[in-house]
Amino acid sequence: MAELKLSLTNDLSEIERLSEAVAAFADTANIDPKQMFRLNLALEELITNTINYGFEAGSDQRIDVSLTSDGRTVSVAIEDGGRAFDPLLDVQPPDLDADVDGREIGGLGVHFVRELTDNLAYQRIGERNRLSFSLGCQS
Amino acid sequence: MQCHASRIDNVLILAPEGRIDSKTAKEFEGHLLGAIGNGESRIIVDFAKLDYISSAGLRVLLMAAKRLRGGGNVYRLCALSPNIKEVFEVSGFDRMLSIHDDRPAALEGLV
Repeated sequence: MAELKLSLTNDLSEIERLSEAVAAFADTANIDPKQMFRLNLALEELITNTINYGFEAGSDQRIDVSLTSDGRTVSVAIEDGGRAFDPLLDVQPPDLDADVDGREIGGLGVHFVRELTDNLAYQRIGERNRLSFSLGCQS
Repeated sequence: MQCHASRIDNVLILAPEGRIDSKTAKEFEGHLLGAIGNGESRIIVDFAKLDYISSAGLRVLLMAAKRLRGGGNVYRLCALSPNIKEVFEVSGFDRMLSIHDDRPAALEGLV
């Protein structure tokens, strides 16, 4: 059993600090490099959404991240006290077959998380948002 | 993120190094769209030293593709690591953009 808990501030520069912490966690949690890449990508996409859209001025602007590994599966939770925001709702899937002209800029982040993780879910618990997903330790 | 620029004949080669994430994508955008703004119309982006890219980086690559579409313009990408290749496959970017195994392959027919 390995566990990582981090409290991030509402700033995109936290993404790199998070990726370094995840790399150290991956070493102790039996996570292979491919799954670590996917884990970092999913975390970045979801946390960037929260930072860009989630907070009102004056609210508690921390984002709490927890990763737990039992050696086979990593369970991830991302919680914040920002405005109620479900990034999984109303997101149009990107048109993967569009050409350069027809392709819209944006909308890929949640698509990546859906494709590369399992059990993706959003809950509003009291005044907090909670996003969770899981991922196998080995690809 | 660092971005090294070099030139072979009239082809500009941009080689980003490290991570293109939601924090550093702006910097990469400055290099790539800045070059197009300066009139560069034959560009190869070499990913050999890139460790990581997220949707924020793909957004920049797509903006450049839209600006370089058509005419006699060239826009090619090369040397994607397996992890980065997966990001391109899941997004459909592997089918939309011109992607080559390595720099010599990307330069074929240009110099």
